[in-house]
Amino acid sequence: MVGTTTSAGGLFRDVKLIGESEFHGNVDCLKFTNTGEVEVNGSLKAASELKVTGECTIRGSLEARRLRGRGEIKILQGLRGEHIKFTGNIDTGGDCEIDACELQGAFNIEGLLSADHLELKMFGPCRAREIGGTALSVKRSKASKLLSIFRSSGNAGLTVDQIEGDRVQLEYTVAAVVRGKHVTVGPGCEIGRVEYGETLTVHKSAIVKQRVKQ
Amino acid sequence: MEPNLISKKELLDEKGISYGQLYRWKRKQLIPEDWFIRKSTFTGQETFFPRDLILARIDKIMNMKDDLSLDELADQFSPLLPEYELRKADLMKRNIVSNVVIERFASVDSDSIVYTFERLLYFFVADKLLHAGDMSMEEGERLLQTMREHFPKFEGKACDLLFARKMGVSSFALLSVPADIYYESGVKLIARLSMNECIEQLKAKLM
Repeated sequence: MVGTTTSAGGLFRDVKLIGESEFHGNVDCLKFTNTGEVEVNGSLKAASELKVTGECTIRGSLEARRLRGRGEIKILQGLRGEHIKFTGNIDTGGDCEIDACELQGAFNIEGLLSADHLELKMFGPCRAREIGGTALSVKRSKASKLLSIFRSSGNAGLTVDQIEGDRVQLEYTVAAVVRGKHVTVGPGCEIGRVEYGETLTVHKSAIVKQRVKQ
Repeated sequence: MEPNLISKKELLDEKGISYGQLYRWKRKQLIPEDWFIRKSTFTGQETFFPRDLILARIDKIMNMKDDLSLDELADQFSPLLPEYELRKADLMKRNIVSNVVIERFASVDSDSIVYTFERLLYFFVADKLLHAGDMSMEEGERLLQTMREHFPKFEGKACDLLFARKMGVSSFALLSVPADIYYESGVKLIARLSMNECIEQLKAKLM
């Protein structure tokens, strides 16, 4: 579909959109490619791949095996997938559950962000209620310093209530509780309480109020 | 602390599993969402689980994860009814429910009739209650009728079967969970069966 289009939604094989599109119901497809702006008034399911360049709003939940692209994704409910590689902004109203997650940019997750492998490079403010998984790495992107000169909309940093993982590496993170086996607290962190199993490394500029070894 | 709950930390220590594994299993829906109970404690928010349910589930996962993939395991635990059909003759041969049940409740059906998973589940539940000595044959008829009439209305949502008796008069009810229920005195709750558990058991028997 090219141009300004609307569709009722339904079952598709491949969906390719260029321009401004709107779906009035659930969309269930194999592959979904979008360049431009798309709004789904329902849930979107892409059995193999979802590629977004531009803006994507989903009023239901999103399920995609692979998700990649750049731009902005807004989901009112949860996000589920196997592999995400995305640059830009992600907003979800529910949980975000992905096996392998590579994010550059910013996000706001109302629920739990759960991943086996999480690699986060922050450009802007990131928020989640909880983060949990196996290997979690949170870093500030090198370009964010440059960007912060032009923008004033909050610093690149992560705010989260609780982080739990086996290997946790953090930078510029404000968290109430961090639990993990191997924990590395990098520069710019403010952690209320760290509970660690084996190793804990704390950067000299980081604040950790309470350290508990288990 | 409530005795029937276990905190996440205790669970990980007791079972020797990592955060990663727990989150992975949750993601694969091997552990139902409503078992994660969030409570405030003096150290902040903590997650608790129903102790017996989660310990049994973790044991099951650890035992089976070598033989089955996580996705296959998820199918086992999913409360959705699988698309499974079985002929009556095979049902008898495989000894899934006792012959008494089949003779009593399915004698009108011919041997070649095909039962859906749902029908098998009804027989399975009746068989369970009969075997436990909780229910009489006549009550079994009413149980099957109740299940046929009302169980599909739950559309895959978790529910419990309640079987209560007062002064010799029995009654069945289906209840969506989690829910608390209180009876007047004199009512004796004879059995409360989680349908999800029954589905799981039956699946394990059939596969």
